[in-house]
Amino acid sequence: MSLDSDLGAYQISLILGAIGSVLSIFGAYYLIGIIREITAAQEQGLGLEEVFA
Amino acid sequence: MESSQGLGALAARKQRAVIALYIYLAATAVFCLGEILELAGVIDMNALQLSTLTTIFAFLYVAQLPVVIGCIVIVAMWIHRAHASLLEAGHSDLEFTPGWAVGWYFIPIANLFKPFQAMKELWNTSFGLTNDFGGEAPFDLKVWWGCWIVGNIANWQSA
Repeated sequence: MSLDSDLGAYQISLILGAIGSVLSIFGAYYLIGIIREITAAQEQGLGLEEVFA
Repeated sequence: MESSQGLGALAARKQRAVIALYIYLAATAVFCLGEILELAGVIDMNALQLSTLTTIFAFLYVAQLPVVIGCIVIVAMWIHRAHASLLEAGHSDLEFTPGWAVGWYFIPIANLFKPFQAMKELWNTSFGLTNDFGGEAPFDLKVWWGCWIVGNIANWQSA
């Protein structure tokens, strides 16, 4: 009984770890896009503002 | 630092952050594969006698820690630089300073919402949008933050 519940808890922890990893991958993928877009916006917007100021 | 120098530094830090995040993606994919193999019973981290495959994954798990720490530092440097560039461009009405845009990630409870607000301010100001309180956040930011929060909670519960 105790061994069964320990195994169940261990499997749940593995499943949660896998779910967390998949979400981390998605999060990192979106963060790459955010970093690229903000940098591009600043290079265009802020750079041009400075040139035309 | 002048605005043009700041933008140059921002571009360099963007490159480093993107590379670091791709390495983090690969490390996390390996970690996820390890958990799936463990669930399937192919590897067993609790065994007294570790198989070759289990030993390889054990080393990869340990190697993930410096990857995560390095990634946090490099992305934090990009966030700091991006906020600093806004200040240098004359946006003096910002709610978050460059230091606190990074610092809020390390304050318990506040790190559930403050970093998102700082990133939203960074996004909106960079794109020349208004950053009204309670205003709609861009879709990419919502997906990123949702994955970050729920993923961290799941990882924390599994530890």
